[in-house]
Amino acid sequence: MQQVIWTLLGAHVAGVVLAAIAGFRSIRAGLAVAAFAPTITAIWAIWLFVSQDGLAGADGPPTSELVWVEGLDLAFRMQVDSLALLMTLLVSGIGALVFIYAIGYFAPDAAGGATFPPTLLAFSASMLGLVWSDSIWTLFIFWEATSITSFLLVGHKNSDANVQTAARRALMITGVGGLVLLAGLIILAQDVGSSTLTNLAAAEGSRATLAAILVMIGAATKSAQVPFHVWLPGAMAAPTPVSAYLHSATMVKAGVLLVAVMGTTFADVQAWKVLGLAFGIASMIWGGVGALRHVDAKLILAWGTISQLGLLITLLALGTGKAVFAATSILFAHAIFKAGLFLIVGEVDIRTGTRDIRKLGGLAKSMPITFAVALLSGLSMAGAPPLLGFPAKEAAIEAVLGLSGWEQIIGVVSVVGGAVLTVAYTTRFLIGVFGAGPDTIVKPRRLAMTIPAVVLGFLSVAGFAALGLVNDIVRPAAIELNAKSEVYGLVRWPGIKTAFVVSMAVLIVGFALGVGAAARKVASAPNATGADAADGLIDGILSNTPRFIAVVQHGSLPVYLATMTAAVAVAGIAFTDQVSLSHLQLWDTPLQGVLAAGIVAAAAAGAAVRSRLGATLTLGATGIGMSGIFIIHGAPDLALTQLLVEIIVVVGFVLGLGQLANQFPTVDNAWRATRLAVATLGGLAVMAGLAASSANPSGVAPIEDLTAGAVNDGGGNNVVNVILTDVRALDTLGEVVVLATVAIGILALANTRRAEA
Amino acid sequence: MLALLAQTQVQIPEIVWSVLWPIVLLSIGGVLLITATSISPRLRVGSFPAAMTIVLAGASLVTLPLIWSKVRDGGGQLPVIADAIRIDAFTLLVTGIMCASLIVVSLLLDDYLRTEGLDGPEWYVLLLMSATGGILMAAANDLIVTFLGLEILSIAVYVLAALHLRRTKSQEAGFKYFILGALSSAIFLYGIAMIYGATGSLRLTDIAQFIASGNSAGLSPLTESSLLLAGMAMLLIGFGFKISAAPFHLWTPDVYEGAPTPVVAFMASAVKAAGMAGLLRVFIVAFGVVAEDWRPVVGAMAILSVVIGAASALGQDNVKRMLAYSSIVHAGFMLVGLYAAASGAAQTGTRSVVFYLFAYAVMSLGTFAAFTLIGGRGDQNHSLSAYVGLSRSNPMVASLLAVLLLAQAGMPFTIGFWAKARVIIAAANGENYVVAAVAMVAAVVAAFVYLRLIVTMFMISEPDEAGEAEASGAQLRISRSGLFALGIAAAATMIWGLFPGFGGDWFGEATRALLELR
Repeated sequence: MQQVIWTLLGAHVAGVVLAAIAGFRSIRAGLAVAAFAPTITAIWAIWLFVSQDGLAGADGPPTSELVWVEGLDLAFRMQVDSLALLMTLLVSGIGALVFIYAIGYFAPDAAGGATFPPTLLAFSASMLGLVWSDSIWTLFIFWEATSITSFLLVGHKNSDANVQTAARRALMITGVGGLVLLAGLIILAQDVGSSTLTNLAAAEGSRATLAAILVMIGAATKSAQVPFHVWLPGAMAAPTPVSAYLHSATMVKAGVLLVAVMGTTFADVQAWKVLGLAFGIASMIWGGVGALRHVDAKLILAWGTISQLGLLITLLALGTGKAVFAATSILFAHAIFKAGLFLIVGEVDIRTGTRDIRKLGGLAKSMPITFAVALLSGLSMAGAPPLLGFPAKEAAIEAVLGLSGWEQIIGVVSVVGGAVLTVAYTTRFLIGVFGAGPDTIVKPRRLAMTIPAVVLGFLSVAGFAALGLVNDIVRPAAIELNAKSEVYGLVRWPGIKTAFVVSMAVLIVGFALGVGAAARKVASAPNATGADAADGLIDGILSNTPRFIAVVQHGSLPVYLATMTAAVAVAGIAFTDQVSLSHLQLWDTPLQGVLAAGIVAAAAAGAAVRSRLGATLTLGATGIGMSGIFIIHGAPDLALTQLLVEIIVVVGFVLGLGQLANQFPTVDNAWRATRLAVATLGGLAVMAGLAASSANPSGVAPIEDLTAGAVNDGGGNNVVNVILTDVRALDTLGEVVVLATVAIGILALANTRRAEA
Repeated sequence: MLALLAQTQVQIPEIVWSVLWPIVLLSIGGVLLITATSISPRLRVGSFPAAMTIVLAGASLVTLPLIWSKVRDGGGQLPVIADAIRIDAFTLLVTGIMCASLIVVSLLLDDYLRTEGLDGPEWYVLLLMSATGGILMAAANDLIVTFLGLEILSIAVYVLAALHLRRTKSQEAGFKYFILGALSSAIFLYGIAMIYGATGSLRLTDIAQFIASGNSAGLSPLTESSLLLAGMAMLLIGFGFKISAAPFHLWTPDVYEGAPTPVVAFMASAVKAAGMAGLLRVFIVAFGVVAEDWRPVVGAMAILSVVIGAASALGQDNVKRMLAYSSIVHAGFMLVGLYAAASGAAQTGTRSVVFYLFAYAVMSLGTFAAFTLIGGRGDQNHSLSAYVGLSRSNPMVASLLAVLLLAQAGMPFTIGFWAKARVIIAAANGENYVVAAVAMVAAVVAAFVYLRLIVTMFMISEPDEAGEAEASGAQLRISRSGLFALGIAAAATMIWGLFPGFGGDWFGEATRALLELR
């Protein structure tokens, strides 16, 4: 079993490469190649469900662990348990259908063949990794991978600035949400002392509360919960196969999945439930309202998804056995009917050229097969029998009715309200797209698009017919999440009970509302305040950085020098409190004072003088003054060297000055003052540093050792010579190498110069 | 005379030449190269200088396992030339980075010079010299040798940055780099003098002993010797300049933008690795005992670097500038690792930096190799707009570059992930949560920058009725050697990304050399 996990992931990786290669020829070839890996994965999942021993075999669920780096607790841990298998079925099953659908969706000569199919497959692989992962680290890696691939897929059509903005917004919200999630997971892992997802111990206490809040926020960003939902409608700019796959069936379910998996861990954390209910109920209602107010069929579905995800989060936050069971069932049913509806919208878009329900008309007659699929999927979404959505929705209503106290009131009101809105926007959607109106011109059918849609529409019926099989898929998953789910099951005919009455009432009220809304075919979409705020934030950062850079990265060498000197001078502040003046004396001989005065005067003149030649000469004067001080200290060798260097430098300067103007360019007073200040500060810092350090001499100058060693070991009487040629001969050799390098450099510069001339 | 010599037989330190092969090969080889091409001008043109450089670097690489077996027999570390140089796993690792960098840069430079109508073995000779200096910096157990290494390394690169004399930007880059570099070298040298005054020694190991004995006597250098403290601060400034850590990073964007791109590849990989290696060697070996005292400065530099680097990279439209800022972020990350090493996580922290400098060398070499290829004639195509549609016109280059950029972003399955993960883990071990959090956020901001570039390359519009979307990246002329260089780097990124322990535990050995063998 272990090998299967790696084999399947390996097949996906290989598929990415092959799809890219095939995609060079045409996008359709790439898609066909890419469909292979999801197909075999889906077949494997189905086989596991159908075969007798399946997951319940003696070995338990297939697990696998790949220790990546020893000793770092960074292992890839995977486990395909019942919930993971359910998700595998959705990810790969719907994935395979979407790939086939995309073959029809894209024109044969569409651009992006080398990028789109492999990216979509990479998403598929990331999603599989996400649902299989059994370690919070593995989960996080794949979580972010889905965000990135989603970003790339949304931005597939990059000709439009709006698309890019939408893609960026989606990435920012889900990406930052991922980081919040990571923070939560790290805290959780530290709190419970394990990074394995299954059997994660229950957590409580203040740290657990913090972790719960962070994880819930992370999940809410991914599952597009209000107020983080703003990225999802924007993401509808993606090609429809992407919307169907990522933004309804799979990726947006990742947050829901996480909430489900973490449910037992945070069962005792009050904040978890409160926050989950707040997100869930707000999204359920606001999503439903949004779906009623848009005229773009795709946006209607997107807002519907927000609403449905809200329902799932609400049920999971409630956390009772029945609620978890209902959530698992809806998760399954929603993926099937919503993917089907998206595929329908894509087909309508391609064949009529519009998705605006005000412009569409008569499609029920001109696109009968599509209409039939839409009817089946739509009614399943509304929760009408005899379709898969009905028992699932029924379970949800029963679950909230079974609660007690304030939970019951909130639960019933919100779930029933959400259900009414769902029926209403479904009705409006069906009437708007397929109902009467100006007959729209319809292009011929593309088989590759029709077949997957028909399959999904059929599944909504077949799921109801073979409800036993669906139960076998859903129940084990729900039991894993909450053992109390064991007693529940989906039923075709619940009998005339409160829940049934409620759900029939929901259907009738919702239908009436939907018909009314469909009559008013006006766009009254809510203001995209949240989306604008998110975009504004990103734009603000992007537009302000150049200004920031213009300040810190001026480009002028003197400014850089001033900055560096100032930084060094600031470092000198640390020593000011250690400066002691008591051990300082004015001079050893007055001659030092004379020389120092000369040096200071020359330096000051150098700063003030306007002519370049004058500056060079004053600079030379300070150097010569320094060599005078060396002589007084009894270091004639050093003085000679200094003198030689000064002369060469002055001569070099004077030669170079021939190329330049006589005077320095004029500068404004502010800059002059700044330079003066920095220079003074730098000088003071050096002084302070020296005064401080000479106050506490800690080492002994090894001059005695050196002079003794010079005679005995070096065999010479000039200690400087011995140092250079013997004691530190390596350094001298090194200096020779430095000089050689300089020589080669000058040679190179001169050579090129000559070649240019 | 001979009798006299025999009488006053002086002690000459024994030199184990056999472990100095890389230094000898590269430096003497460089001199031979310039001599040969001066004697026979025919050798100046064509690929001879590049080939010779690659052979020299390759030969040095081959000697590394042989040297290592010798070093291992010697207990993991061999003092050479009166202990001025230490040959150990760390030295050898940095030597390997230098040689790999030389090979890749030579592959790039060969075609670059031909395209630009430039020639001359000087480029290669300077590269060889610079690499020698880098090795010396990593190997030095003596501050003067560190400084010599620094000078040899730097001077060659100052010239290289300016060597494209037709481009004023290149000249400006070289000039700025030189002036600011000279200032930082002066500060560095001043720092050495102060350390010498404070401890009476230039040997790193002796300095460590001196400080340790003072420590055990209850003297803290912070209060007792401001000389030592000032010296350490100045050394940090000098190294900080070389690794372009904020606030000494100002030269980086200008120089990266102006310098010839293959030279930038060398600067980002070899020069930064050497600077970081020197920093590690000096501060871990000599000043490891007083880590408490230099820790805050390193932490501040780390935070400044990641924040300034990431924030500034956001608004860039020139990819070379963008990557210059990103290199500042990377320098910051290495400093985060060093900070962790100074905060109690000595082992994991040091190891994370050792790995990071290797990883960054690999990633930056590849990235700038790609930029060289895309930059094209005149080194011009470095604006973001030149990358639009690159995946269609040059899918190979675009994909390889994408791999490298993802690695820089810290994507799992690439070498960059391990680099960042190890640093963050080390920071957590050292309980530097604030620094780790800041670094993480900066890494995300920086990731946005790389992603932006990737998106620009890969996002191509579907053809609409108006016609094909404009792909400005017309078919580039991609040299085979350049593509090969890019391929090597991308492959290394993936190999160590998938198997971070590939090729043995060098990083562990190098860490051991720094921490335990003193």
